[in-house]
Amino acid sequence: MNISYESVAVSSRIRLARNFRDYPFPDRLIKSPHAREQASEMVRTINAELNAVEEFELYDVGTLTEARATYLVERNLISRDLIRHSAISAALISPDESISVMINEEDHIREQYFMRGYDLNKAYERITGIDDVISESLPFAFDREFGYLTACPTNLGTGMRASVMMFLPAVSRRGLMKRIATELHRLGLTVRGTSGEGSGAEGDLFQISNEVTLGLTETEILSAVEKAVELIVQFELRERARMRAEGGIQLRDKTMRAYGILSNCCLLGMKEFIELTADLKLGILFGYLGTDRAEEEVLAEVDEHIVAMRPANIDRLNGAALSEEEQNAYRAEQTNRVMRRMEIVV
Amino acid sequence: MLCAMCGNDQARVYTRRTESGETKLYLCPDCYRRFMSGKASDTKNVRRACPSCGTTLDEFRKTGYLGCADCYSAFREELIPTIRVLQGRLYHTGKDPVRALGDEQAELEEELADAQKTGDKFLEQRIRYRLSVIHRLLSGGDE
Ligand SMILES: [Zn+2]
Ligand SMILES: [Zn+2]
Repeated sequence: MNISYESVAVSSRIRLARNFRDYPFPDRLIKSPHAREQASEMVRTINAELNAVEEFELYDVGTLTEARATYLVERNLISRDLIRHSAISAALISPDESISVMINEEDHIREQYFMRGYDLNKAYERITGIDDVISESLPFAFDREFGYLTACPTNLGTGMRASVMMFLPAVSRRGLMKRIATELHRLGLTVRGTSGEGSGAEGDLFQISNEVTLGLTETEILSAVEKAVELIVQFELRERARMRAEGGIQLRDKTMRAYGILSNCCLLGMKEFIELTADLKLGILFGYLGTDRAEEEVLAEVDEHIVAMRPANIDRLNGAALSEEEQNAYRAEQTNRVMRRMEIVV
Repeated sequence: MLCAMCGNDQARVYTRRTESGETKLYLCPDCYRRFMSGKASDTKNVRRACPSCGTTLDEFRKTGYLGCADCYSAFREELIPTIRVLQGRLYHTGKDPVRALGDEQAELEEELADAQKTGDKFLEQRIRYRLSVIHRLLSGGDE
């Protein structure tokens, strides 16, 4: 995979939804008088099965502090729905944070694999292996016709959602996202802004994923997503070239302003931070800003920095909770430091 | 675009909000009206409950969630039009853990017979243990 490819298809994620045959689905289970015992039985068996194969850290959501839970949400390792079920929920997370298994979220099991870069087949190989291990713990709810049974029929069949996070500054700023969205729906795929459905995209990041989960094999779903991703990459690269050719001094001005503020500000709120880092990444891609390292490595560093500068992540790095203004000051200072490793290319 | 329920080419895209998020429906206006009023399937049965968990069809229509695996057998007839609308298809063709275990079981039974012939007690014991695990995972269900 070459550099320009991964400057568009930024990361890959696959999740599999599974349920156990002999327990009510989480929304029902939580109302049962035996919810706690049944949930802890489930957690104990899955934990034993998984940890026999490789190392996972177990998080009992009910005993997590609010700060720790939010930290894990900001890192995409658990979801708000899992916290909502804190009386019965748990998570098993691999040390490198690439695998997370949520227990009693919307379904009994949500197995998720995340990787930086674009490789859906690798992601599937990894998560289906974890799925095989978990399938040995308790009998899955599986139906010959409908496949893996899920709490919501939108996930029925494979229970699989394969998604690729895409950085699309040129396509979205040139007002072309609508065209992509319409095209994707026809293919049984969907596109979401990172801040959730319906809302605009934070930092020009969009998630492309399959909508249909039943009646296609996992391989067919993966190749449908891949086909779309590859077309969108070509489209974005073409639009970037056009943007660069037409943008002139205004485009350079925009990225230099982002560089200026990020390098020198003393307070930096989340919203401004996200917007400016998107401009900054564009500046790196267009060669206005350089470092002694590979472009791909710098972009990865910026993305990791964005996650690390979310509020609960800052509190954890700092070792104690900060006020919003203190967080903004912390974010500004850390960002100034990251920017010192970059220089303007004349 | 083809309507997912009746197949005519007057379909439009409708967005439906449930507690579990947004779903897109590809239906003609007539089928959409029937689907939303719940008349796409048998309305007399909305109060019927799943024998395992007590969820009713009416509850499912409101929340978009089923209560347990058995809800799928209890409401199979009523669910089929909904699933066809949501997914476009009805039959799973992907990963199949039941078939995988069944295949493994058949292989192990042959290996067990061989082990008994050769009198390899240790191997026999290992195969029997694995077969008991498979038996536990396969038994008790409707399959
Ligand atoms: Zn119709
Ligand atoms: Zn039920």
